[in-house]
Amino acid sequence: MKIDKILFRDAFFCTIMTFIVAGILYFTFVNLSFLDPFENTFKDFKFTDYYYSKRFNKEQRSDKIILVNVKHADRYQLAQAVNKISAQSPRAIGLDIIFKDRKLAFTDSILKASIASNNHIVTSYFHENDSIVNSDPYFRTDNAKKGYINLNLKDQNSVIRDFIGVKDNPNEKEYAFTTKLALEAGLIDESYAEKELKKRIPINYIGNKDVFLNFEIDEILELDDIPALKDAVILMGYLGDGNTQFDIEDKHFTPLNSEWVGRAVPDTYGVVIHANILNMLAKKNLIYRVSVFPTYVIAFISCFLILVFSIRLYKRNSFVFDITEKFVQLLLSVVLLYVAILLLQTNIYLSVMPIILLSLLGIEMIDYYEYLVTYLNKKFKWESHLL
Amino acid sequence: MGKSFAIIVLCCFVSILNSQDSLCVFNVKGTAYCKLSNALKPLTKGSFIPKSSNIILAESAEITAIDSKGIAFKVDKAGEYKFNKILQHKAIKNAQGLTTKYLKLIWDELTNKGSGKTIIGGVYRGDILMEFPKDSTKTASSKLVFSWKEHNEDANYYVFIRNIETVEVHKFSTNGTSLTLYNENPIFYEGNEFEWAVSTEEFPNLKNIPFYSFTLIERAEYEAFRSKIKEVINDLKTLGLTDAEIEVSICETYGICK
Repeated sequence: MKIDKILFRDAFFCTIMTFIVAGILYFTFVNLSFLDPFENTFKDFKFTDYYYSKRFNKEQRSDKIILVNVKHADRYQLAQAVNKISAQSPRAIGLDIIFKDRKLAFTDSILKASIASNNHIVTSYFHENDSIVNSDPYFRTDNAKKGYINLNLKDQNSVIRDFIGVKDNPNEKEYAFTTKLALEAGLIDESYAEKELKKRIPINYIGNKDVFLNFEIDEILELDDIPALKDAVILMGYLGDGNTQFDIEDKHFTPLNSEWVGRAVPDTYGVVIHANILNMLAKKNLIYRVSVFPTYVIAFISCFLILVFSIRLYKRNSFVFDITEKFVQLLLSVVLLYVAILLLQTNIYLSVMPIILLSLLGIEMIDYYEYLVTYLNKKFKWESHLL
Repeated sequence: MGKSFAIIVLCCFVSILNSQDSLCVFNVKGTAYCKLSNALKPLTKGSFIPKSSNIILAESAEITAIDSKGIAFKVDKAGEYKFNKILQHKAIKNAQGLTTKYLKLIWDELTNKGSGKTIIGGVYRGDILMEFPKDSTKTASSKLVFSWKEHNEDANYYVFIRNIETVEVHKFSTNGTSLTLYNENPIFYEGNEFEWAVSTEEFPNLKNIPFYSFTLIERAEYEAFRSKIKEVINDLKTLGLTDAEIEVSICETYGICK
């Protein structure tokens, strides 16, 4: 019994030592500029991306959110498409397009009339540094509803994982394009947006373009009647113009990329990201993110438990420990990643990286901990399970 | 007794609520119709298949439809299907559970499966013999004429036709620069997407020669396309082009050939 107590004490102190060493290493990475690539690599990498990259989520498609590829259609064609879609009575139409300048007076006036004629159109704008980039003032209408289409968040690298639906600015409240669209379509109400969408939420991706019913603008213009448009939310944006493999206009990195580490080619069009967010809002299928403190508590417990097992094995037979150490580390990573993926399936996002790294580092720290307790034993008669 | 009756009524009510009212057409290839009270209506993307209707699929057509829960159903064999029959054709059959999928992926990673992707730093250039059908064409004819450029006068040519779906390759030899096949040929029985290539070597490395793809479509689909571009056709007629020249022009411009 006494031995067990000492074993647990050793595991506890070894865990603390692991955390201290990990902390020192982390701050070294953060503060030394020449180690920036490592820091950025770790930022770019999330174990949980494996879930989306390998499509662990249940295959589901949507005909309630419909994408329309505007390609490089001119403003007259866009106006015609808006009119045609409006005539089918969708819940709302989102224009993920910015008409930065005026082009031809005639076609511009037709487009403006089309936008003004529908009360459920949401237009877009974006923040660039300290300014706001909008469509030309000519296209602003009295009933204009608009939302920001920024997908970049503070501290987020190029991979689009999170989203903020409502920003509380000192002067006015700002809504994301998808939040505004969901409000306009009646998929959520103001109180829900206020309560749930002010914080940073991981995007619950269901898939790329293929999981949403999508039309080319030519199809919209050619077909007389598209029953699915009725009561659907329509998102008009760019989804490629022919050569999708090499076309990277408005294409971004997301966890859907088949290369979950070392992404090189953008994988998802901006409008598809908006569609995924909208689908998440429509189904109120938000992901709960486990905050930093509970994550590190779990990391501590995981590290402690693996150290209890490892120290016991180390003491019993250090040869077996050396042989099995790497296997245990591999198995531990596989099991912890599995747990994180299981949790993600139930809409709980646990950042498993610190848990895995600290647990693996903990096993490596046993040798150093042994040197420490040997020294302490000589100096202060410190008892340890390892001696 | 009263309690049992109430449970039965409740169960019936729940099952009615759970039953599908309609399916939304997610994707259509080829010609498909919805038959409702003996009236036929062509099925297009975004239309609905009501519960009381049947669907009719022409040869080599396929349709993907989804229900209100987002579950996809795919029918790809010609014939008439009742609504409930469609629900038996789930697009993803026996979907693996998360644990099985995860363990399989880990195993594949450990055994290094899926690696070995070929990466090249260059582009393909070479003398491509194939002339017709051009790459990525859709052809509606019952007679397929493959033609290619002459390599040299005495050359023997080997034509390879590969079924994209089954990856089955058929080989023909000729000393001319064309080969005619009819679409009732057994090689076209399965699937409607094919690739073809011509080589002067009898046993070339098939990974090393370029293939042109072509899709067999129904005549109705061709006619539907023609009717969509009837204004262009009228313009060409006004310019004095014959019907045959117009067909060639459509084939070259839009990749849809008769």
